[in-house]
Amino acid sequence: MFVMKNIINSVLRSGGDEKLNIVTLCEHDEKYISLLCQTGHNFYIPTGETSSRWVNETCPVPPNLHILGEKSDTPPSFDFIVCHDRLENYDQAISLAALMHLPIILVDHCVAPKKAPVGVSFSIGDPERLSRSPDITVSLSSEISNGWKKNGLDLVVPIGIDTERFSPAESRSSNNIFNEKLSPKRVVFDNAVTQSVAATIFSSLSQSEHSVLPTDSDISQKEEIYREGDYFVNSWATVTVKLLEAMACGNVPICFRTPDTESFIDHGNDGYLIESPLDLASLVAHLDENPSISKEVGQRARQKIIDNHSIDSFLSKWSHVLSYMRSQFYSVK
Amino acid sequence: MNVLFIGPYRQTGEWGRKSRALLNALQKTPHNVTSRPLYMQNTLFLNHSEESEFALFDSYDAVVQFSLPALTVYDNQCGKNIGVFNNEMMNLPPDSLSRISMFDEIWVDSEDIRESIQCKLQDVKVRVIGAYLDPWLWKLSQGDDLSILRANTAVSDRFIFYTLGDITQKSGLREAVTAYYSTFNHTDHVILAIIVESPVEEAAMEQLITSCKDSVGAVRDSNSMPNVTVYNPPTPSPMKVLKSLHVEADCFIMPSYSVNTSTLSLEAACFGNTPILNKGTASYGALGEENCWGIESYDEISTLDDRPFRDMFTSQEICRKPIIKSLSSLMREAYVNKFSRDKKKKNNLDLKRHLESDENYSSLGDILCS
Repeated sequence: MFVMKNIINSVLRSGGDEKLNIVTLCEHDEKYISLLCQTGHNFYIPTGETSSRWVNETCPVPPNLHILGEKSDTPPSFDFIVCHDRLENYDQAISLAALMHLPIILVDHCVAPKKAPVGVSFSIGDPERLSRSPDITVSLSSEISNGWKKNGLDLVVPIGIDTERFSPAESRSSNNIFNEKLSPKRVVFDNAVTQSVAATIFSSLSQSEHSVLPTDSDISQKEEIYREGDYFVNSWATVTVKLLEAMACGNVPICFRTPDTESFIDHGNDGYLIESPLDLASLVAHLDENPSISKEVGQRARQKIIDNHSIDSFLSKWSHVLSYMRSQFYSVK
Repeated sequence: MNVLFIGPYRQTGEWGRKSRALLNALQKTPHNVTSRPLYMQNTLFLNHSEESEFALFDSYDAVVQFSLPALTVYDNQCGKNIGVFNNEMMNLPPDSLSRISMFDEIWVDSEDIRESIQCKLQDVKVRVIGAYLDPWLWKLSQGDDLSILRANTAVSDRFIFYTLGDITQKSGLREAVTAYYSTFNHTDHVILAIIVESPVEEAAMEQLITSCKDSVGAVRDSNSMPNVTVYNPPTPSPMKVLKSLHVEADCFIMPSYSVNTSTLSLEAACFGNTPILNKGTASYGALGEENCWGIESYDEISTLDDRPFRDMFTSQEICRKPIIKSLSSLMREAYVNKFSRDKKKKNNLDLKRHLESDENYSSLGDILCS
């Protein structure tokens, strides 16, 4: 595929100091994109003919994120396009990039699946099948990076969590959200999944003994939920930002065993892996009966985030990625 | 005004020539020009930089993109987005309409092309610009050894027809060679020199020439056929051969199907090698019958097999095909009618003065401002 550089941008944005204007596709990537927004650059989500959308309940819109199409303002000239899923919307990224002559940054959030998903006929690990290779690939872990065959530049940038903002509560407070009178143990789960998955998790837990609260809710207060939660059930197959936030708050992470979670959670040490929702009830009962174990696991989970998922490191690495891309595509030569 | 020009001016070939010609014309206007090269294809590149590449301004009032539609981008940071697509065919490829419609203005070579495009574009102004010369023509003609042709004893003292060709249908090379073989025989002191700019397999070129010979029929045996010589890169370089032929040859033939202006035709005329080219093309319009010989030709839908891009030269577009009989008779006339040849050569000198004049360039400056 013949790829054009945006020559106009290379002339007009050769100063090097201006904030970049970055198009990012978004399908359940609100949390990660809000982290990227902390780099200070401007991010834009195209709606309309793309499948991108922003769910406010998951994450409020950062001030430097703009949803294109919502207002009649003329959009600026863009510098890069960021795609978070090489399976679902990479084709959209290629189309947008071809229209605007933009370099593509691909963020791999998960390991390459061992077999192609339904409806995907080709080998998804083979980069030659991508009609256009990304200009740079960012993987969330070395396991993810090693799993995909790639051409070109790639690097690992683990998700960063602000462990001061997401930290355990000093003391348990009486909180209406958790309906303290009914239940001593608090289970948080990410409800931004399909209704069937959410319902399965919800129904697996004893409502009389646990307060179950979804992360995405109009009445929820994000940090407070994690801070005062005991267990966090990761309802996704991958390692998500919400999982890490919950771990930073000392919640015991409980994940379904998948190639992604297997390489992240040290079962029994800093979290637990279950095979199916049927295992959830027994695990939670075990943790209920052994509060010292769950406390230790929660502490180790938090320490893991402190040791390996620094928000400063995340922002620094991403700033370097964007600076490098700017120098490659838009510097004066 | 500050103008940003983007085009393939470092390339060889016609796109490179026209791009350099337009950039040179813009640089001669009172406006400030920044330029950036565009690399469209794997071809020979010239190792030079334009002075305008080092000029940089905080903002630009206009950006001129000399390129194919698929390779352009609309940018609202610049005041006016101008597209120069070097339209080789009438009408527009349907796939590129949405992209072309984003531009504020499009510049074309002739009124015919303008009319064929404007009817499809509602909010885009289509304007006709003048014809300009590639400045490299004049740079290389000073002090260079241009005796490539006359050093070949088979060529000396002959009337030299020359043409630029490749084996694509659009180049019209097949028509040129067929007309040449049907018009002349070995007793005529003529030779046809074919310059190939992008390297072509020798076997493919041989096959084309042989098939033209065969198509003429058994009116004469192969020993009585006139000579054809092919200059296939890399040695000698096409640029040197071209300059040498401009200086030493006698008549340039351009029966190409393209309807836009050919810089080579203008160059040939400026060197007094009155060109033979298709009527109804922008080249013919720019030169006029007093400065060239017009081949009778006809409009035809484009059914070319060789497309650089999938959506180019489709049957939605119209090309201009030469009538070989007319080309043949014009070649004979150019060869035998010295009076007509000299008269046109004299007119060509006036044309050269006009093309180099400030008046020719000032009109472009006015178009930018309006």
